[in-house]
Amino acid sequence: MSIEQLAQLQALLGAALTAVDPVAFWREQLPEQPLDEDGLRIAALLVAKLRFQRLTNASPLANDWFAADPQGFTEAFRSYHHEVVSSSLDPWREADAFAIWAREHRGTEN
Amino acid sequence: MGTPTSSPRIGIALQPEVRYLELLQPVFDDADYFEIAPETMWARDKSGEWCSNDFFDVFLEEGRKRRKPFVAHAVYGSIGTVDPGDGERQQAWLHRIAKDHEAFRFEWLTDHLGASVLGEHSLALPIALPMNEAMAGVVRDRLLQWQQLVPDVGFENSAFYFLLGEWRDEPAFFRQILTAPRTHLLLDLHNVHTIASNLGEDAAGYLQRLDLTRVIEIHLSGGVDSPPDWLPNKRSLRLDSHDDDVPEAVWQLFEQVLPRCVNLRGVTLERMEGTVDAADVPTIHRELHRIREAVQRVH
Repeated sequence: MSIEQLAQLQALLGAALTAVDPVAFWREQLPEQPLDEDGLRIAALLVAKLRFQRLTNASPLANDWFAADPQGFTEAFRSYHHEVVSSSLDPWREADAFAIWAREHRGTEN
Repeated sequence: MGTPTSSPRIGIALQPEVRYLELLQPVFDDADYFEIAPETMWARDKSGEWCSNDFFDVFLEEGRKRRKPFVAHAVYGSIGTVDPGDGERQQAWLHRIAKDHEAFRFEWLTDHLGASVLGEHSLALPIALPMNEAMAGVVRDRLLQWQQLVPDVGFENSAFYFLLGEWRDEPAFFRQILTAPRTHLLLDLHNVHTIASNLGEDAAGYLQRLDLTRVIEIHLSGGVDSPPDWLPNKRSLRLDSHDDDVPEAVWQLFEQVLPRCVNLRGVTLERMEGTVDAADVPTIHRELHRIREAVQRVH
């Protein structure tokens, strides 16, 4: 396997782990390389959980929204997670990205 | 294998949580060193550059007042990321690690094997790597980069929830990676227990295949099973959640490997922030003593 092939594989894994249905995504994209599907689902849930923590650690907007409306925020986060690529491990950039998304979807910045 | 010590020391993780640090004050003196994740001490300044948050000084003071050294166990190194587009972030990460090292003088630097940056996706969870020579080369090269900062470096065997290959092949993959002097394995025994439990495989057999002479540090921790409603088929998987006591199965693995880890320099007890209450403190105290008794019996 070349470096280019490795990079392509990792990009596909990244997309699968943030897809609405990671298993369906993987079966469609790389049927010749089956994975432990329960493990893939659990990993995708943990990815979302870590992103949720990263966001709420850095974003007063997310914290306030969650405190005021936990169910509404959770639904909003689910949409955000699937619509917006998590492009940084940095919590502050996650907070910035969420603020932009929320402004478009909720009509508010703060 | 670097500078050997006469006997492995006992460490505990410092977590970025005031309550955790307050509750465990009586326990910290039982440890010989502190383990920190450098990224938990980072914030962003107004220019967008990483700077130190309040825990930088808090952790430094814990070490100073108790005269204990530090080891670094990073979380954002993403040692197995292949995409060259991650290069700039990797360099910025290393630059900030270097700043921390100036203050903390880390005895060694490790991160988790895997890739948490996958293409354009930054996931924070280390994902399994294909176990082949090209991938081993990527990880080897990255360890050599880290050695320019800290001479002793390594990776932890991660608790993957799916693999790109067979678990039984992981020890050979580790051998492919760890060829350079002063590159090490951080053996997390709860991670071994987690994967063995989830795959229904034999943890002891896996440990038999590992080159334990490469182990610089052992991690002991606990975890829980995933709630049944996480999966459509209601199956529970063991999680590497660091939120519970060290289970007996992990203590047994510890007793088995300890005599064979001839270059071991530290055994670290890990608990996640937000998971320690006052009622847990006596248990953590006992766990540290149990580690020390085991180490003194063997080394």
